[in-house]
Amino acid sequence: MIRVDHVSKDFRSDFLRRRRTVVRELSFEMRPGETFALLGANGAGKTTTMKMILDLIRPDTGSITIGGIDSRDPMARSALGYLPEQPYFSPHLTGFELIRYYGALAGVSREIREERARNLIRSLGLQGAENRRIRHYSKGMMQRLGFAQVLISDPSVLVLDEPMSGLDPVGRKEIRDVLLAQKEKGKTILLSSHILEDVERICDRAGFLVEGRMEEIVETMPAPLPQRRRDDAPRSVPSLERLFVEHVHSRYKEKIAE
Amino acid sequence: MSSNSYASRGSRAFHVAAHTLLETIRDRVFGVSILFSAMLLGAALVLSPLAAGEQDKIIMDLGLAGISVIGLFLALFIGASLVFREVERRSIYTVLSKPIARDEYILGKYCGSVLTIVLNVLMMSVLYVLLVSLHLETFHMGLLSAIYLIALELAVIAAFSLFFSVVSSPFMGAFFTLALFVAGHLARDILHFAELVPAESGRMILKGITYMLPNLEYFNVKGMAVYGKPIPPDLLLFATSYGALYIVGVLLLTMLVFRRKDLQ
Repeated sequence: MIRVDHVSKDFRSDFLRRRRTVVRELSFEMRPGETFALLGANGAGKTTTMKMILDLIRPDTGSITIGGIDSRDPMARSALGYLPEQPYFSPHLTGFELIRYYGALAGVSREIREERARNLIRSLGLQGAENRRIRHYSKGMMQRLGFAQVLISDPSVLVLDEPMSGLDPVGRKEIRDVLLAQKEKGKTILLSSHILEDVERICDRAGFLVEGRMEEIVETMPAPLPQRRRDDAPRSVPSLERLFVEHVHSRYKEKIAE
Repeated sequence: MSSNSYASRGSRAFHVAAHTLLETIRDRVFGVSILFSAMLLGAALVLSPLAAGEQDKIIMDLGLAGISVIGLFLALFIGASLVFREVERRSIYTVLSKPIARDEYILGKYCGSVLTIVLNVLMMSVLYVLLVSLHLETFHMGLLSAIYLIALELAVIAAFSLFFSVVSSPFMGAFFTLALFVAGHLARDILHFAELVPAESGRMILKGITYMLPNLEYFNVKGMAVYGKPIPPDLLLFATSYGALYIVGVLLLTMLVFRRKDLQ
C-alpha cells in the first residue's frame, strides 16, 4: 500500500548551508490493512518520513508510492488522511466549516460531506462545539477536529504523527478507540508515537528509526495488560520497550559518550 | 473511495479561495480596514471646506486615494502573511495532504486574497459613489474607471505580495511589497535616473530592474477622473492587459518556487 524505496533526505539548515542528513537509504513497505508504527527518538526522521510520503518534503534520492501511484502525484493522496503532531487550524472558522472545507478539498460530494461531517462531530464528541470558532477549542478538541478532517474522506490510508501527543488519559483512550475502530474497518495506518503501550496495542509491526536509518522492523505482540506492566514477565518476543532501549537509548548513550 | 472524486483543478482552487475569503473577512484586519475607509471618507468631507473653490475635487481625490491606500494596506497585511502564516502554524500540512496540487493551492490563495481586496474596494466604492452623487452631485463614469484601475493595481500588488509570502517572512514580505508599490509608481523617474548613471554596467543593471518592475502609473487615472476628463477605452484596455500579464507572470513564478519548496 505504501512503499518507501531507498529514500534519503538532507537538509541545509544553518547559515553556512551545511548538510544534515535526516533520512538515510530508508526502505519499508506496508501491506493493505496493516498498522505500522515508526518508532525512534526525537529527530530520528519519523516526521520527515511521513512528510515525504505526503509530498510535503521531496526526497533527494529514492521513491515513494501509495497504492502504486508516485507520491508526487496529488492523485496518490486521494485515499489518504493525515494528522500532524499538534494540529492547528484557522481560528476564524467554526469546527463544522473546517470539516466541510477539508471534505471539499478531498473531493467528497456536498451531500456526503454534510452527512459525514455531522456523523463525525457526533462520534468524536464535538457536539455543541461545532458552530463555535476554532480559537475557542481546547487541545483535546483540536485533536478530535484533526481526526475529523482525516476521516471526512473515509480514507483507506491514515498517516498519523503522534496522534496521542499531549492528551490526558481520557483523551488518549478516546483517540485509541477511534484508531482501533479504523483498524477494524481494515484501514492501513502508519503512525508515530512515543507511547509504546499504545503502539503494542494498536500496531501489527513497528520499525525503529535511528538517525534516519531503519534499524529493525519487528512484529508487535499484544500481551495482556498485567504482563505488560511487569518487566520480568515471560514473553515470547522482546517487548517494544526493551527493543526501544536497545536501539534508541543505547545509541544515544554511545553518542553522548563520544 | 467511491464517494470521493478527483475534482477539477478549478474546483479545489475555488474551495481554497472561498476558505481564504471567509478567513480574511473574519480577521480583525478586514474590520479595521473598513473602519479606516469610513473614517477617510468622513475626513475628506470634513476637510474639504479648507480648499476654497476646490471642495468637490478634494473630496473626490481624497476618496479615491483612500480606496487605494486602504486596499494597499489589505494587500500588504493579508497577502504577505497568506502562505507564510499557514506554513508557520502548520495548517498547510493538512491542506496539502489532500489531493490538491500546490499550483491549485497558490491559485486559490491568490483568488481569495483578491476577492477580499475587491470586496473592500466595492464597499468603499459604494460609500464613495453615494457621497459624490448625493453630496456633490458631480458623479460621472470616469470615477468608476478610476476605481476599476485601482482594483486592478491592487490585484497586481496582491500577486507580488503572495510571491513574497512564499519566499520570505510576513514583515519582509510587507516591506518588499511596499517598496515595489513605491518603485512601481516611480518607474518612469527611476528610468530617467538610470540614464544619468555614468557607469555603463550600473546603467544597464538599473534599467534592467526598472523594466522588470510594473509601471503602476498605468493604473493611475485619478487626476483625470477628478477633473472630469474622459478616460480613453484604449487606456483601460492597455492597463487591463498589462496588469493581467504581470499577474499571470508573477503567479507562475510563485507556483514554480512553491512547487520546489520543502515544507519542514
